[in-house]
Amino acid sequence: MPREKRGSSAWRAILLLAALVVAAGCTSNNGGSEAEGSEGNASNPPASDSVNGSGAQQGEGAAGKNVTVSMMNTYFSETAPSDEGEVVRSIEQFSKAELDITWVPQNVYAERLNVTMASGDMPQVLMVDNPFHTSILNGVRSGMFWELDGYLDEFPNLQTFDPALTANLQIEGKTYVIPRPRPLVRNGLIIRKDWLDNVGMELPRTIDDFYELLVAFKDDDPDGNGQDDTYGMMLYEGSIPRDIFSWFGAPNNWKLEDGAFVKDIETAEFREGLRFVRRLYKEGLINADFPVVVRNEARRDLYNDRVGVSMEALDAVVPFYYFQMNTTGNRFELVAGHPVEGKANATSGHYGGAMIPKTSVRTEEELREVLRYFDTQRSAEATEQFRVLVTENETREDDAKFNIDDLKNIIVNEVAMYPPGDSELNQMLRARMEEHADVSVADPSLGLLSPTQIEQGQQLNELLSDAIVQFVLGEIDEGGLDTAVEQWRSRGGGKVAEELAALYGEQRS
Amino acid sequence: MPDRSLGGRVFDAVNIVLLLLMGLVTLVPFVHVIASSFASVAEYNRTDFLLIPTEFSLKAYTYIFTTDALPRSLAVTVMITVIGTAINLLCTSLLAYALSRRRVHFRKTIMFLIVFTLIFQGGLIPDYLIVREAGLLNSYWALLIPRAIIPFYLIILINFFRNLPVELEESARMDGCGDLRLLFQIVMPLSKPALATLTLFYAVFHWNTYMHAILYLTDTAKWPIQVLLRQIVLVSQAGFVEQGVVEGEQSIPPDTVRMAVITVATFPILLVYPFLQKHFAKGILLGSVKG
Amino acid sequence: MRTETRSAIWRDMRRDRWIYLLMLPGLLYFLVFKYLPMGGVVIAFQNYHPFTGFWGSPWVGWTHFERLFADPDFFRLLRNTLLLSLYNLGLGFPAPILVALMLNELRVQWFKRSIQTMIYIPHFMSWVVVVAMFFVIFESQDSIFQSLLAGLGFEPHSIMMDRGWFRPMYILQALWRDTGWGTIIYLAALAGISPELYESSRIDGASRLRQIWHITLPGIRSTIVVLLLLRLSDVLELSFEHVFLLLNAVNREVGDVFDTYVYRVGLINGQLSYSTAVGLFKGVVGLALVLLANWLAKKFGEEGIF
Repeated sequence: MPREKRGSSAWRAILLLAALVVAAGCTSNNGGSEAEGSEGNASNPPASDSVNGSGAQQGEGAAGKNVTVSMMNTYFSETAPSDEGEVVRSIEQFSKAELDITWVPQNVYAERLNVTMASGDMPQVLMVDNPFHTSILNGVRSGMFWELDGYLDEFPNLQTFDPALTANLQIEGKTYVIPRPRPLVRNGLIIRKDWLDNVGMELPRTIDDFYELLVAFKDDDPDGNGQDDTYGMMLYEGSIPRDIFSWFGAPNNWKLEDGAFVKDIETAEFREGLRFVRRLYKEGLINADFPVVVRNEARRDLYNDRVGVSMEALDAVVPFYYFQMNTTGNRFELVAGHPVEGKANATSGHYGGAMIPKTSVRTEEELREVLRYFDTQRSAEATEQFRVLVTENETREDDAKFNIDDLKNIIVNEVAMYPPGDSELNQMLRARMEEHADVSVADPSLGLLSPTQIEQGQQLNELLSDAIVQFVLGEIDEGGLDTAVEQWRSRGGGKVAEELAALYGEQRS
Repeated sequence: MPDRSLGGRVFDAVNIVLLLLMGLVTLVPFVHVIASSFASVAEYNRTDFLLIPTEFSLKAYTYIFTTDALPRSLAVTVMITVIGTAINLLCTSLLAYALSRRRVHFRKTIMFLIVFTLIFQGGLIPDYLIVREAGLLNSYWALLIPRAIIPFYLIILINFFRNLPVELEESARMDGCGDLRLLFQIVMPLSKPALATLTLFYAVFHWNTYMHAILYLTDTAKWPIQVLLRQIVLVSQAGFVEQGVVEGEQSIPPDTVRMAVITVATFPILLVYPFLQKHFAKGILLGSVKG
Repeated sequence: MRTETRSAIWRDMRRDRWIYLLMLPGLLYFLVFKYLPMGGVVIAFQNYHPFTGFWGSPWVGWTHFERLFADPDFFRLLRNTLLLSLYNLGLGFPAPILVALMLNELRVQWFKRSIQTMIYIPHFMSWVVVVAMFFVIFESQDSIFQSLLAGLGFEPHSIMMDRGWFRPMYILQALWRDTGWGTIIYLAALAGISPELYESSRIDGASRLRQIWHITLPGIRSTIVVLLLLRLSDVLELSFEHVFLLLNAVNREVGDVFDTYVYRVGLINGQLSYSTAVGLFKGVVGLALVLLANWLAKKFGEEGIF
């Protein structure tokens, strides 16, 4: 395909020359010679050395001869996982491949992706957190990525994903992404067990239970220090978990009504939930600084016996809190709540996944090789190996543990998506998460790519979430909320609803 | 020499008090950072604004030095800073000298074109493509050569060079002194305060290298300290939650570790200024040469 | 006539060929690493996608600019950006000059150097850290500030959630962080003033303030002018990270600026062309201001930049 970098070689030569003149001019006093590795890996795409693993396209006969898969991915630890580290080595071993990973910190991934696409120096696999990002979508539309539908039936383990999840990830009815699966519902109430016992209450089942619990945590001195220094629930960064509104029967993001899409905030149930949260705020049951406090700061209240309830991702946060308690020395037991009123919001069930560019994976054979890597990674054998690994990791001392987020971030296997192992805590968490998943309601807009939502989504969402916070703070009243919704509608929200309805209609027919 | 009048004394007293206050206000938060880095997590969490740790702890430091990532990236940063600043000073001085001489034709036009680059930039993608075509990817030169001159600092140096007395240059040229000698033996030694300032500015600029390193260097072992620092500082901040997706929560390190990394990543560069300060001393400039 | 000047120029250039040779590497640098990439701004007139590249992306003319000017938030953004810029120019610009003058009056060298070093430290703290510390000191319920309020019998008050405090808070944090850093360049300029000037004025019995006014300030005037011109060139450019960290659901009305807007529509939604168009607009405003200011400076007998 035509690309600007393949332009005239004269131009390139002039450029190179000019750069070298500058380099020479600038460095002459340092005695520094020309750039080390100036021909680096710039001109030959990393894809080329992967072919050596081919030879056998059919069957498992290829075992023993590992392929190399190059990949671009983000990381969450302080430093990028090492090639020699346990995580990468185990994945290589279980998936029978060599990995060549280009690591990029999460907050510059978009920029890195852009320059990578612009230069054409693609790895064979792009790990993408949001495949519906404009720049990925446009890439898909201009034929940048392999469409996988025709190939997946050759790989049995790639057909075992939850179909709902695969559907959520489709782009215009086609499959481009091999998902990194995640639990369908991650949010849940996290409650201090000792406080619960101290105030003599059970895990809340209804909204009233929940309210009573927060009141008790505020007024009944749950930590028994004789001071009125506690409150009910912790929130931060101006975000109010939408699950709370679901308890009142509000839809998950959108409500599908006779083929039309109604935004959650337009429903009476959602409004009722909002009034409830405002009441919590007014009565001092949630922290007053929630619109501005960052999570690390907010969590100090939890570590310092000031607050007893939080609503966060059970799988990610609860183990983190236990880890924190090991360093703070203030230990207490946490318990996950049941779905209140038997309701919960489902998420999309994935954290993006792997996409395969055609610029680096040029032939079908190469594509099959990459797919085989993922297939092997999901085989029963590999899954069992992963299970042993993460279970064993759970039993280690904190210092000896690897960061399970690093593992989850690379593999496309469900094995690590729930807190692993047989510990009482993790069993409880798994049970509660499944309990939530069973009753969860899906977001009907998932999988429908409204162009307006993609282009202006962030602005539109912010308009509403700002209004919600202002309402909770008492800065605006119901009328102000209506104005905000009206503004949202006229600025593109209405168009989004129409587009979603049209897309939904198309999909059904 | 000192001003002994009453007005002068009041002036001095007020001035000193105000500056002391300012120094205090700027220093206290830094003390907080250092103190927190030496505190135990428990104490840090308990205390609202820690200034003096009572439970002295080196845990944060032993934690960040368990791997070689920190010393290694610190060494990379020091190297980039030293070499980069040297390149900057040379390139900037050469161009600034030429553009500050009135006998150079088109210098105003060139100056305008330079200001223009300050206002309009191509952006990350074209920059990347140029660096790539120049074959600099994954080499430290990618962090040095494309940033050999910062227009902002160039203009500042030109301004300083312009203000040097013209007579000096004229008399030197009478003696048959060429431009190179003029620059290195007269103009530059006379501009020590300006060059010291630029040294500091450029050093800090390189010390903060972040985005370019990530874009141009794929080998994470070559990354400078800021990548590590920002990862640790930012991972505990907002921005990781999107549409109900929660990732990386378990990677958040304790705040004391954050403070320790800030301390280690900041301290070396803070030392540069005190070392350069003697070049800011008054009077070394004209008095000595004119005499 | 014309050929004569041309040949005169040519003659000059041959005479001074060494100085032109000295310029060469620097000029090449600007050509290759500044002007070549500048071609990238054409994507403001395209629907650019990195994969299709500069040649393959469709041209859309002024579409992105029309979208910007038609955005219902445009005037809000312009107003917010301009106001913060005015705070920056009106307070952030003179503050370092003032402090440099104050430092210049100190006679005891070790004291002067210590203060200098102390006040430049904050510049090395990233905005994330600055804002986090601001929160701890002023916002959280047990903070020093809130305790002080309570001690004085006031209700607790959140500064970060108070729209009226947004701009003062912004500029105070900016002053705290960057004033000391900004003095450095003026201190360098002050070092160039001949001590003889002070001595002769002292003999004339001039007071300290008069000395500052008649000797010190004129001595750094050209530096002030150049820095002011440079400041004007990116007048609509604010430290994005800082503003972004201070924004919340309550103050977006007064705090949303072009940079945060670009982040929202451009980075998050991946619209490179649109963000470039917004950047181009800001650049044109900056260029116009610099041209005007440079012309004015020359009118008033200064050299200006170009």
